[in-house]
Amino acid sequence: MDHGARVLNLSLGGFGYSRVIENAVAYARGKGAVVVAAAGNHGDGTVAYPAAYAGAIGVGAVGPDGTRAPYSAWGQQLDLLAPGGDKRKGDEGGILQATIARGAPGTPVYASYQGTSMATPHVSGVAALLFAAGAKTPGEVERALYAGASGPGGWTPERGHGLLDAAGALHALGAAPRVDWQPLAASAAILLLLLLSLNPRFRPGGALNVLLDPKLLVPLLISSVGFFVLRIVWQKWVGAPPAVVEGLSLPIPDWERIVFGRGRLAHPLFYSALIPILVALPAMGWKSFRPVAAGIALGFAGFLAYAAWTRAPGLSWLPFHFLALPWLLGNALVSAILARALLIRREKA
Amino acid sequence: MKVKGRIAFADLGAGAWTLEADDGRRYQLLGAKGDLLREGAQVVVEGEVDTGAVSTAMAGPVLRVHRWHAA
Repeated sequence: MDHGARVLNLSLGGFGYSRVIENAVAYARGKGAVVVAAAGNHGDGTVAYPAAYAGAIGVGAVGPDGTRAPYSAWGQQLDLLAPGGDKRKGDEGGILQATIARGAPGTPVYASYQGTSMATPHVSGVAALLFAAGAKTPGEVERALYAGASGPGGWTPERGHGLLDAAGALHALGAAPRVDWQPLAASAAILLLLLLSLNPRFRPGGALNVLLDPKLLVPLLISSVGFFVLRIVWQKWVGAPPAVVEGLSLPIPDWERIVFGRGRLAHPLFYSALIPILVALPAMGWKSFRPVAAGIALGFAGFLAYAAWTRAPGLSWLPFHFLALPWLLGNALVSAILARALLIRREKA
Repeated sequence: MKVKGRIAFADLGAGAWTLEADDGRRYQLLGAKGDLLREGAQVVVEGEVDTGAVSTAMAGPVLRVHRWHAA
């Protein structure tokens, strides 16, 4: 990238973590290059390095039928699937390519190979296409690749963001950033339950009135679906938004990306009731701040509940993936209880 | 370490010789030469896993062979 490369294709890997290589990947990405790497051909739920580093796009392989090939690795650091071939039914199931000969790397041949090494350059090619179509940053390329990927939607360790889709990615590049409204719906459902659980004497004037209060509604929106207007306005009037603006336009739990940079794993303290609790502290003695704190707590409750519902994303620092679900649900519950307390106090005081 | 298993050529990427160990693990062999390097050979390998190794076949942890013989 010091010589102008924008796409680095790494159809290789190993199992040893190396801080030097991790820093090199981060350096490349910082210089504006997309790093695309093969997830591995060992077929289990661990993604090999360098694909597993936060700055790299980890690519798994699908066979001709579009499902993940049995040799392809998958797991927490998987980002995308792409055609890598599956030769169980013969050479025609592989990726026919101009390549290096088996056992004679100096000899060019035309051969049918299979592997995540073959899937990776498909993604690299589309990344180059996205740069050619006007993408300015690796972040823009990655977002378009993920948003345009085909499949049921949402990230899973088995499929990443889905199957590479060149047309979908190009379409996603030009499209307005996608805003995920479902967490808001979850928050509204939680609010309704909270209001029903309250003694009518303490009910803050009906669900509609509460929701129409901008002091509650705006923090609720920002914490559950994000301050997306900021990014849309920035894109329209200023140009490609810098990382901080992109981070700020995300839901508050995802602001961790401003601090920790891009990563597939969310930080458990951001994906917890910690921020709502910190915000609620000043609200104890400051009555007019309570709707704001209640809005944030409700937004977190909805966001965390929705994250638990979709089983995504994974949380860093938690040694086992299965701990993520109780963590998200428990913290959603704490946030909801906090919101309830703030709503009651609002009326009593 | 000592690993017992079966030699197999993994058709992954440009391909690689692997040891399908009796415990179900698959290692990618490094530095294995000779008559034993043939499909289906039963062998005992003495060597060590090289965690720093990187390969294009990515068939499994790289096992650096020090000595090996037929099982």
